[in-house]
Amino acid sequence: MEYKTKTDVPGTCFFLVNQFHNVTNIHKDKMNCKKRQIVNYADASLDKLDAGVCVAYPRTTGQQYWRYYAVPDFFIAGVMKCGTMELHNWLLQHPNLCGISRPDFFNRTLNIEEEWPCYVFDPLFGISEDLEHLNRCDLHTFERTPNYFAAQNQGIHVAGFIHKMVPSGKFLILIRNPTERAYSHYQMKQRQTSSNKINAPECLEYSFSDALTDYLEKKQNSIFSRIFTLGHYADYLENWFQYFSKSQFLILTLDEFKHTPFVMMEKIQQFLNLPYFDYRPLLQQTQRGFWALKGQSSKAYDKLYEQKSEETRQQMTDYYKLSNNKIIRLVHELNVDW
Amino acid sequence: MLSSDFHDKKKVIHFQQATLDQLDAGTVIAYPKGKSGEYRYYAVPGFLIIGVAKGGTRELLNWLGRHPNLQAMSKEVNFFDDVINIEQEWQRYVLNPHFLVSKSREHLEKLQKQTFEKTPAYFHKQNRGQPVPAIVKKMMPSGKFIAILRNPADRAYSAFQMGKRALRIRAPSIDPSTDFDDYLDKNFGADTDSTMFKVGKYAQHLNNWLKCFSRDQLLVVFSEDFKKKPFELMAKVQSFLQIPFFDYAPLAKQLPNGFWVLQGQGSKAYHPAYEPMSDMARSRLNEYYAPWNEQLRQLFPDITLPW
Repeated sequence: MEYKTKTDVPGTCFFLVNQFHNVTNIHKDKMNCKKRQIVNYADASLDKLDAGVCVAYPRTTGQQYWRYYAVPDFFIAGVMKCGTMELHNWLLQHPNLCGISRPDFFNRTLNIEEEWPCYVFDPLFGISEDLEHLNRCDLHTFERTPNYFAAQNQGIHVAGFIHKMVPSGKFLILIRNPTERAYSHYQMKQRQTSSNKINAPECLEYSFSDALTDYLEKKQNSIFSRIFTLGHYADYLENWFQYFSKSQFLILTLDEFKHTPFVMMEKIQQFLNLPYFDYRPLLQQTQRGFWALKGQSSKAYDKLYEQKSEETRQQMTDYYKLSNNKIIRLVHELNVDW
Repeated sequence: MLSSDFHDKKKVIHFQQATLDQLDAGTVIAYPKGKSGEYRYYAVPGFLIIGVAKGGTRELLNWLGRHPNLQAMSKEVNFFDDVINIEQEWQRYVLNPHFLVSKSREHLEKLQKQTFEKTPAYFHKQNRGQPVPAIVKKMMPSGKFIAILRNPADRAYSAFQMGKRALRIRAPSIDPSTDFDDYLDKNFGADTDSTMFKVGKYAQHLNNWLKCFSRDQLLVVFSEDFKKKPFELMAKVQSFLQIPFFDYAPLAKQLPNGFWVLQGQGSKAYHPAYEPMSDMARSRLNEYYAPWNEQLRQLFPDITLPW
């Protein structure tokens, strides 16, 4: 499918576009995945979509105009409080990427067969209005929804829903020491409650160690259970591995993001087969020694929280011990010292 | 002051029962969160910035996006000008993460927030033979609409400059070495239908909007005023939208070229100015737009054109 549509003859483009669309629809499986797959909106259905597939929506001005929306190539699928927003902002700077934050689609959708257009026709996934541009631009879309990591929808793990639309998708999962994660999660709930964004007054009444005690005593029934269960990364990853192969995942740690961000960004670009992009000129070091994007807010500027007591820390470490051993067995390349 | 107005008419519809004819500007759609009883709340825009392209719509959106009672969709949606069947497709417009205003009923009740978006194509385009305002009306009959206009000759020249650049979504449509005077010689005539020239016939397009909406639903402002007295303009927009007054002065700074910009936000005001167009080109365009400018004055006798 080599089209050189650089042409000044009006009408030619119309012909090529139509031919391209038809051929694509008939011979979709023969297309090399490097070449952009395009599905006409009129013929599109959930089972024809996959990572990077473009849905062509006809524009009003005549048949020769289309707007091309790209299904995401990859997902930042968690974990909450592990630096996903920061990673999202860094990836948005990459000239070949367009991303959206928190669509929360796959964990909420009631009927994905009918509702997929709500997701795919997000204006931010609309990467081109011109076939020549589309084939040349090498733009890819992605999204970040930290909630996906542990979410269920209608009793099925969210991975099952993502698999229906994006079976060959890739996933970036950021994790961190689960003790730190739980503490950060607790702090966030406190902040959100004081600013009335959510209604969780219990977070103002319970100290962190009280919350931990409450959870360890009651487990399932504790109002704090989500804060602590999310740290069992291996258990959740096993759910994901039921739908996708391990090679579709890149598990990253907040520690490497903090301490060796350039190495990590290179690793990500390689994993996603993206052209190399140098982040160094965009970054500056914060007072705490972290790297942040110039001219953009970042949590790297925030003050550190008050430290937890040694006793609480020890309790937490013991609690996550088995789980931490499990993730090291599950993800061999992981380098953690928790 | 009038801020309670929006609050009072807040209408919440459950997604599964919702149909297009129940929607209006500011209507909230409740989409279930799976677990019983919890919802995510999406608000239909209270207003739209409908144009014009090259009139400073991005800048206006960025300024309004800073208002504590407003929530902007950052990218041009191009929904009403593209949509094939709005009765069936309205969900993909409303259930967009940028229009998500709340995740709890309690929070929603206290919330006074309008969503909005800007798509300059709404101003002049037709959607499969139908004027865009007729389609907008199906979703937001009581909506408000802001058009920011600019001297049509300057607008056309700016559109020409844009045509020479590769955009993120489109390849250049004009050879970058083209000279504007040559371009006019080849493409410009009284009967020209090219978008570059057609958008500037403001009276014609605004007339289409006034066929679907009443005069008080439409606010016309000018790029030239935005440049010279942005705070006055923002006050005017806020009173049109009936939102609490927000003072932009502490957020803004003036550049050496005279433009006011928001601190810490990118703006085209930082870009170097183009080479000015030739006097010849300007007088050709002025002559071409003169009757349309005259019609615009008749259509809005209360408004003084700054050009």
